[in-house]
Amino acid sequence: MTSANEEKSPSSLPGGMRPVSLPFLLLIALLVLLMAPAHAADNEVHFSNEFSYTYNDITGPGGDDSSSLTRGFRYLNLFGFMGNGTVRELEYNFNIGFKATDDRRNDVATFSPTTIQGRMTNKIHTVNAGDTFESFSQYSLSTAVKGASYRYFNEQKNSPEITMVYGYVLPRWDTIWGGIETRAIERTAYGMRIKQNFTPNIWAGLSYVQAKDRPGTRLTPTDPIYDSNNYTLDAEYRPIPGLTFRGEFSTSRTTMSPTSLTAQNEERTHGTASRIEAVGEGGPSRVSLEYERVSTEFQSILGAATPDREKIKSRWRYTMAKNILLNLGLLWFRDNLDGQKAYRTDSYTPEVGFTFKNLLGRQAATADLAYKYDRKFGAGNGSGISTADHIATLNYRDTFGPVDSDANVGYTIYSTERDMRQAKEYTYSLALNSRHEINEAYVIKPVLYLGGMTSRDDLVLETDQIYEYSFGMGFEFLKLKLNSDFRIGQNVLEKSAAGTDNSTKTFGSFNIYYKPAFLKKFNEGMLFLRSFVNDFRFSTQSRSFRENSITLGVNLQY
Amino acid sequence: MKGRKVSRKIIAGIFCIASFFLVGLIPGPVVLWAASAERPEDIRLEYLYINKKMIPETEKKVTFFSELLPGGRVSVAGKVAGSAEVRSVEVNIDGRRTWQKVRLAQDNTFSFRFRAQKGETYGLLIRITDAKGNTNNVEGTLRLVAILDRSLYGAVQDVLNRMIEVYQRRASGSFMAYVDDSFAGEKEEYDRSVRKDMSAIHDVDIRYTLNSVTPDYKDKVSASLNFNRSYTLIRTGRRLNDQGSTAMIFRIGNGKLSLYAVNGPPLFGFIR
Repeated sequence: MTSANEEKSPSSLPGGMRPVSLPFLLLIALLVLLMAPAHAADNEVHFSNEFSYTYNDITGPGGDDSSSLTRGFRYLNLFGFMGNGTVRELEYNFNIGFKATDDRRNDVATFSPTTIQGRMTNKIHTVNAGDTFESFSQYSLSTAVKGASYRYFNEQKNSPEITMVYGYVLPRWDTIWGGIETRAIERTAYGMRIKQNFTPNIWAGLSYVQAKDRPGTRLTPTDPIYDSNNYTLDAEYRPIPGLTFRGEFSTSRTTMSPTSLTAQNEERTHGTASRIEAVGEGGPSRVSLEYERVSTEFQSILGAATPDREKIKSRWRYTMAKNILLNLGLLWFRDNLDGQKAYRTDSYTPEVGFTFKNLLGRQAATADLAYKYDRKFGAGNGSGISTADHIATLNYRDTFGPVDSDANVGYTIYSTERDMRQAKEYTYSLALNSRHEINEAYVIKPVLYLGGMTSRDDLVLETDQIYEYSFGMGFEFLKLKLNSDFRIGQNVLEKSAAGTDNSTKTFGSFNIYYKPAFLKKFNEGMLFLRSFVNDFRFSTQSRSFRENSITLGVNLQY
Repeated sequence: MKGRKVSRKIIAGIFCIASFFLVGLIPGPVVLWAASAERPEDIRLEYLYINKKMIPETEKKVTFFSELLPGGRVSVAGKVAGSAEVRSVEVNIDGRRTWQKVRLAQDNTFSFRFRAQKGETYGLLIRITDAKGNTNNVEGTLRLVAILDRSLYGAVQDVLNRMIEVYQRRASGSFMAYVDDSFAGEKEEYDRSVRKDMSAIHDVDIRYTLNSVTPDYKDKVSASLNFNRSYTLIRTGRRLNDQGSTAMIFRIGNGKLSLYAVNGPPLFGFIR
């Protein structure tokens, strides 16, 4: 039970800082311990640093609202320190990264750690601290945490594989100690898994994970707070080579507090999820068949599942001939498993695709042709909506003399009943690029891109046209170790509806990457200049603006 | 209403028939292998694992990131098919120059490891000799084991850059080629979301900073990133921008990354 009175907002602490918890201090201690072997003799240590200084200029009346750049001079520094090696029987690696910037579009904090990770193993015991990613199974755990994990597995004795994990599920490190700008709900994750290989062809795993949110860290009073437990059994069986059965069953018990505004507001749910999959692979065929049922009240806070779904999915990939590949797929799923909704939706998505290689005897020619029918039936008391969409795509890649080409064509029909949507879309694009080497000293790489989309709304009889075209050229001065490229082009949006905005973006970019001799002592030492101009013109002139940006930087890796 | 019911029944019928047909295909490979097993003169592998991944007969090349190799080594495990007596199993990774005899267990299983260098490709061959001195089809066991020269961090950057490029070009088919078949949350639903973006927005510009790249040392890697996104909404013609941070899980398969899950605000498929 949670009430607003029990909560203490971290922002009420002096300076908006959070108290550093004991588990976090233990984590840091463990991390320092893991990095200690870096001082030993048999190791490899690298660092990388990229510093860039950018000047952004935004002009025009619409710039303040629409530009994604920050005006003025801005810096960005990315630092990484990593190492690996062996000390006696222990293998270790570590990785630390920091970011510093005064551009709030890059990061909300001026200085922040991006990654802190250390790992040590003697092939039987493995300890990981810092950024930790243990994936147990789909329903139980597939989320990275900031914490630690321990794994025991003795392959020689075919022991059970035991994994334990603990940590915070937070988007960034400085959420743990940072100020108000990096706040997030404090979610703690605990988990344990035991997996046993019974034979080389059969294994089973049992997992338990708990995700618990600290009520006092709500960002707003209506943020839901979860306390969820998942118990999961998963297994795999390969009766003969090429045939695999996989299955997973999970049950969840979740307590959710939707708001801190009322006292008695907890919702307790209990749900189950199960799936079974068969994959057959042999000769020219690969066939898979999957069934899944996830109950309405199932929650997977640290894994992945879509509640209220029953699904059957099948795929068949078949090499019809040496150069022809067939892909067939069929997906059906539905909701309203508990009958509590006013209507039920059934979704059917059959699809067929062909890949043709060496088309018409052309060695580099590859064509992908695909069609998908996306059908939804909303049934019940008349409030369900049915849709029928047809999606056809063609991709063709080929080489004509020195020119490589990549062409895409797409045609889509959208149809939603009761005249909610009737529309057609045509998309097309063509990219041509080439590479010419001159006297083994210079390389020229021209690039041409043409693309667009026509979208026709048959209900309001309006058409939107999009055109995109650009031309670019890359230069490589091999002896100087200098690369350069430029690109110019336009993106145009033309709308037929009255009172809407047409727009044109004219753009240009110019970049130089140079590895000078005086940076040779570094593995990779590079100076770079990146610049671009985007000029946006709208029919409503008060929205027009221009962005100019130039960045100078240096990248060092040792 | 009646037409809708009829078409629904037709689709359901096609679905059932196709599913039955597909299930019926599974015994194809079963029959193939069973038939092989009935010929005792065949000396062959029952299975082969490289770094704990089962390698089917059809997969001739496997690729790994060097930083994910335990101790910088590739481990190979296999079993000779049948119950006939096997005199020896030898392996070669240097173009048939040196054959290394490996220890064979009573159940005809064997395993060995070798140190692998970044950027190298090894041709793995396995020679099985039975009690009569007959050997297997050695060439048939050839597997190329490639160790990538690039880092996992670089690979994540590459796949993100390519996804952004095809997303900007509205090449939905090419985009979905970077999404894993077992995408958590359903690949077809994700495809629908991405196509919705492609219909609704234009001239998308995405800049991102990769914060951490954390592998699970099995078959997945988690990448957290900050992004800054601007785009033109086609319906109104207005230019909008937003920013955020998210985490994306990629599955590592044969040196290639494919998107497996998104834990956080979606970078693609975000238009509601």
